[in-house]
Amino acid sequence: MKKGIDEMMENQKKAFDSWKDWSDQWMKSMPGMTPPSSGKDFFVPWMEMQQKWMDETMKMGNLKGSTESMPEQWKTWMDMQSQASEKWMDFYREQAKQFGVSVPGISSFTKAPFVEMGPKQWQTWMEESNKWLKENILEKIPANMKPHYQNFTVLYDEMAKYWEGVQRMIQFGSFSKGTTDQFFTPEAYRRVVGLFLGFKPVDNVAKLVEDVNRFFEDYIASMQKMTPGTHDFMDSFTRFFRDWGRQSGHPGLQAVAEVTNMMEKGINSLYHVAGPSEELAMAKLLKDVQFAYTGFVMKSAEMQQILLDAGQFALPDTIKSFYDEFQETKKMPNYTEFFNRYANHLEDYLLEVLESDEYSILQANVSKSGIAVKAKMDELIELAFDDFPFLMKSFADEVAQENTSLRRKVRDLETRLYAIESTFHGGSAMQKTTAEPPKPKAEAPKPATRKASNSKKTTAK
Amino acid sequence: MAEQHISDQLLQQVDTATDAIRNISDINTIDIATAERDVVWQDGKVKLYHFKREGKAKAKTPVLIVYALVNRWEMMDLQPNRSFVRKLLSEGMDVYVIDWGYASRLDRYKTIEDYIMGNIGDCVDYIRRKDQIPSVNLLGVCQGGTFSVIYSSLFPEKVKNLATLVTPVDFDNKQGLLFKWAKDLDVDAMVDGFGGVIPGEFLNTGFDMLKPMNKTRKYLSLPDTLKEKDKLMNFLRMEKWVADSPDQAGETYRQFIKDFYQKNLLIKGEFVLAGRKVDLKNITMPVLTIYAKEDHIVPPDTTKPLHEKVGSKDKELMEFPGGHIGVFVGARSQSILSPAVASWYIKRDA
Repeated sequence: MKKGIDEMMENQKKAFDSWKDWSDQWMKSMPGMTPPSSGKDFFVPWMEMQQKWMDETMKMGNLKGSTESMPEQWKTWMDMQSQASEKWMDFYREQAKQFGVSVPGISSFTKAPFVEMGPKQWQTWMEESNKWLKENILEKIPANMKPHYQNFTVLYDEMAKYWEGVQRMIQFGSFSKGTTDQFFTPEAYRRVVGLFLGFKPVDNVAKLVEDVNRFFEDYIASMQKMTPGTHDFMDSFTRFFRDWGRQSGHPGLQAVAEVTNMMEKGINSLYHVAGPSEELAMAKLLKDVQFAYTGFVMKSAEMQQILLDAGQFALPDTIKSFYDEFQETKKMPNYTEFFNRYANHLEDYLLEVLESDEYSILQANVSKSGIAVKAKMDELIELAFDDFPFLMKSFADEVAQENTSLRRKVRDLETRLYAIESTFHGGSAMQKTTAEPPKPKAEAPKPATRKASNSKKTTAK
Repeated sequence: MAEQHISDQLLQQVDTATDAIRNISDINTIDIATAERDVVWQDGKVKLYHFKREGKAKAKTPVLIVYALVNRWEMMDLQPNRSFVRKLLSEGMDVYVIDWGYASRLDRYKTIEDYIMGNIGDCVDYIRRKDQIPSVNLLGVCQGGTFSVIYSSLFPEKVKNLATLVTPVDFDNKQGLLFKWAKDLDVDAMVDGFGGVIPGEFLNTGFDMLKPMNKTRKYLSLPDTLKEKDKLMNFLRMEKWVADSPDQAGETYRQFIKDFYQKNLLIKGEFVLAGRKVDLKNITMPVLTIYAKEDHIVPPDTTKPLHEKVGSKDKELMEFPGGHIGVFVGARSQSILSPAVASWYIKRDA
């Protein structure tokens, strides 16, 4: 990387160039704005002033170390930046105000005096720019990739909270598991790993299992008191779920409670649609959904716990590796270097688990139980709309079967026809047949887009 | 010194941010697969593209690219300077690509037989008839390579030369996590539970877990990526490609997992399609087997056995120094691999 004031000037020029480009573009596209020459008129004198300052500084000698050796000269330069920023932003604001255009940096340059050093001002500008960049990257990436990017930005900021402490640990060699745990608590660790892997962390698995067992026992006891096939049954059933959902204060079961509440609301309206004759069947299905979902949550929690256990030494290892380097070089890594190495260490540990037989079986079970919930919900909805003239899944399956079967028949007939025609025309396999396709049609190269029917899944690669 | 260090970092960040803002402001559209082409054949959602070539043909036998059902063929023409298709065209090849389209619930009963005997067969026959030639060149990619191998075994007379790119044939593998996990998968529960169509997002989640930090690394390197317009566009195009993950026809998925990943029938010579046993020894045309040394999705050991098992006398095993995706869009793919593939076909065009 280049160093020194020349670099700073170069960067500033780049920034001003960018602002100028934008405003030029706006002015071209929006009639009535100040002509581009106004921006240029400002910019050229500023650059000339900079050049003059640079020439004078060069005469005084050591440019590279001028921040330390020539504080007065440096201050003059900073003032120049301050004036330039204010002037430019005044011009910029005036233009932008008319059209209500929001751009990065506009809020970071205030008209307050330059009491701080220039770098602080630039730091502010950079933070604003980063924010703008995040928003614009998000705008440019596909919808189903957005959650991944958002997840990453949250994770990056979350880890940054610990960076100051981590630097001290690197400096003083505090990398024992006990020490890192005190600083980077198990809760924080769960949250961070959850963000890395994109799952919602479950708190305490042992407690979760205990709660779920209690739930099943309560559920069975309640069911024994109910009379199936009556409205009383349905009322008792939904009341049970509602009460249980409210009572379960365990974080791991909160999701179950949420689903219960959601289902209670949704299911009541489904009952109205379906009519009393379907109530019992739906109640049974609802029970199945509830059990399937609870099973899924438990298995997910178990899987998460295995991964969490695996990665717990990643932070001490990362700190130790940087400490070893620090001993030799006395150079502290930057946050990104730390973050990157921590991710690599964490991945190494996670892969050890991911490669195990135990994990493979557990993951298969989690997938299976998750899909079981979905399948039961599909059944429930189909049952509710049984008497309505909607194309439901089971009927659509028949259509799909028929569709595939017809395509095979057509293909078979085409092959037979081709064979007959080939024989008729002398048996040449190269003979043109009715299978000759229509005239080619040009397809305008266009970006592939997922069809609407597929766009519902907007959540991972 | 410490202040100087901070100031250096700041300068670097300002520099990066300025370039990044400029670069991202310039982007209006993110286009992929822009090589000019015609749709020359279509059956339902499946299309056959014929690409337009500007230069002179160096081979009279066209090449048909058979891509995987997982993800989209656009990876073969991601952007003009990273395009396997364009490179083959510029080397004088006539190029066709099968676009499988997007499977929906209507396709849930579509089987491997429908894809291979039906779609691939129809496309091969179309090209043979149009060009009045007895056989075509096949270039099978990943899962599309497995399909191409099966087709070549059943119809060797219709395939002049067969090249496979990162194509799994031996699924009994302990290096690849995908191969390990698939063995424990209750595929019946998956297919039936999902209502006969496996969501593309479900598959993507599995791919993500093979290297859990890949996404983090990708986004972490964004400051550098954003600094250069070309890198930024490449990143955005890749994001677009990754996001566009078609759903899978349930019956095909069920059969692929069971017969290949779980029972490994192909390499054992026990796979049966349309009542015919698929014997790799029937593959007697020239075969080029390309594998990627660092491939974590389809590890080399799953691809290399094809070289040993085919009945061809003219066969070649080619190692690509990179990963699964690098085969299609890496710099070395453009400079070395795709010209080598074109040259391999052209030499065997007589």
